[in-house]
Amino acid sequence: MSTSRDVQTLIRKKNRLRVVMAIIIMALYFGFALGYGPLKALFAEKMAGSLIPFGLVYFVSLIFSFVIIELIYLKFAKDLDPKDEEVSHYAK
Amino acid sequence: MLSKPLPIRLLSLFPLFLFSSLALAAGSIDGEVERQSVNPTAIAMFLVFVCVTLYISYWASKRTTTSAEFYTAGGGISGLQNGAAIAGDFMSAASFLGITALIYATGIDGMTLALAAFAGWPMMLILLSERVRNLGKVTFTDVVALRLEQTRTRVIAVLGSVSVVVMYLIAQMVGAGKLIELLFGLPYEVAVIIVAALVMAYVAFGGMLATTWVQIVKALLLLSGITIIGVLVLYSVDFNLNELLRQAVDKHPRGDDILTNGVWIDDPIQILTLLVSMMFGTLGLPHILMRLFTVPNMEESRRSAFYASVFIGYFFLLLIVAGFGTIVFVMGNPEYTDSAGKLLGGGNMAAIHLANAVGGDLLMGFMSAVAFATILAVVAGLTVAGSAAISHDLYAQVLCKGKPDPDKEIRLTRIVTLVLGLLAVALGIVFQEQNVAVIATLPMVVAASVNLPILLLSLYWSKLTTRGAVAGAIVGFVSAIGLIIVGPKVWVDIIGFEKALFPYDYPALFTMPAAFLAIWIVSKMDNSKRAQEDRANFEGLVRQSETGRIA
Repeated sequence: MSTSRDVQTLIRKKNRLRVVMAIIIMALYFGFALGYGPLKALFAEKMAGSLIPFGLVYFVSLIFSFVIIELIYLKFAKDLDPKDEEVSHYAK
Repeated sequence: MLSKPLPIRLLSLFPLFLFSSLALAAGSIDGEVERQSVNPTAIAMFLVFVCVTLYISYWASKRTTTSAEFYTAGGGISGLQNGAAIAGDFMSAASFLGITALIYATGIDGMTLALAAFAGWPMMLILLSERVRNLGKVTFTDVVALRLEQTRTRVIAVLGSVSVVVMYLIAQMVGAGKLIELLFGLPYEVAVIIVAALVMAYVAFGGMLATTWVQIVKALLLLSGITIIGVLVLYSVDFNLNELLRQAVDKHPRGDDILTNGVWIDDPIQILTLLVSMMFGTLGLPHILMRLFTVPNMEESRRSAFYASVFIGYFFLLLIVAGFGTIVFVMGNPEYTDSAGKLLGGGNMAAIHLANAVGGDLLMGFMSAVAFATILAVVAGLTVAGSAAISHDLYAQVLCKGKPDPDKEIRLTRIVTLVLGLLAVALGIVFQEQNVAVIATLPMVVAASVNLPILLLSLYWSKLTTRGAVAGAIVGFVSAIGLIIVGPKVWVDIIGFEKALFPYDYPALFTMPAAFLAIWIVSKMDNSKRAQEDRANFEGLVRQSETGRIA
């Protein structure tokens, strides 16, 4: 892209991305504590025709989801990194 | 055969597991230990590791002449290498032995610990990896002190760093002594001295470069070992996880309950306190944050955190398989349990017995050697961080006002490394008979309650002032230590009162918000001249933190 982007806008966008992703991660993570409280029965529920409990599926899904969220962040963050010429423009 | 309901012998293991989360956090091994007979395979494999790592230190020593090279390996580590080194720094022997042991005793609850240990990593990537890398040079204290008044800020951040490092070190050294006694049949004191001597050699000569490669080698060995164990366990059930769980349920005295949450801790608030301490504690560990400065730029820093989380996530997924493997292969097996059904060598031996059961003496020796190597890698990382806090933060930045004599600084750095090594031996021996559970709880809680609030707000809150940061750090520190003292581990287990004044083991759920609140209130009320300067500095800090260029 040849158009120079406004660095402050890029920083704002990246911060918004950080907040949204951090909230998603914390919601998924702290949701796990519900498995010890109100959702205990759900966490103990076996997946169709097997002994695998929902809690284990949730755990494995969380690990994969977090890695996917990280990959998404890596992609967007790279796009939002200010380029050298944009930084020079901003510095003025 | 073990019989239902839960036998007393299993219950007797519980105190061990009640604190194995913190043990996992600080990498300590605790609980009952019975010295094993000398294990020649393990010792031979460990000696190979020692030779390789000493050669690495020799190689690194030729490339480590300045203090910048000493602390950050010259900033030339790639994201992938750093990710592996971070994983090597973070995956402790106790997570390998402790989580499998917890699954062995209680079943699926072990995954809660695994999740708690993993979940700090995406947050590290998203919130800290870029800004911390762009703002600091050697320690996270550099970052915090950048926009605030140097002396006061550095002094409180060093308090946070050094206390976390020393507490972590105590837990490691006591754990190391017990683990090596357990696995290698060496006397406790000898084990502690060997660990300290090797770490001093790595760090004093090779600095961060040697430490990095020791951690990378260790991470690869640990990941290879757990992969072999995981594959062999899954192979035994034709890669059918359901069959593995079925066999575990059949073997375990608790039967189907091992697939239900709450056997270990049945209180959502207690679990929440654990989850908060582990996630946010990870984000405030000085030796981990320091690794972000070993890469050349923020893109590599992001990659470091990403690769670290991939390695750590993979490790914990396989650990769950290994955990259920211990139930299937070790529980009730007369080769590994006594007539009362108790594990030979103590509760932490489940994973090592599993290695023997699925891979024979060779795999057991390999895993024992890896556990030893693991301790060395973690202690080396702590030593570099402790040495940086004293020589860089206190001496170079506070006492010499940022203009130290380079020769004196590097000499001091090496002297501090040696002193830390001797201190580690002394602490290991002094605390030998102590309940390290308490000491091991502290680093994560203090990191979450002192280091993280000041670091995070210095990066993201424009109104933070020096006075606010100092107040928050003091509130976080005092409340963390205070609530641990009146909590179950000290008030009941050590002092001997019947009931704790504060019911939770990991007070970060309360102490971290208290620190944030103190920072917010004091910063808001702060109208000093310095406060205006602190706030005015924020814009320049944001620019530098996002672009890497100094305003």
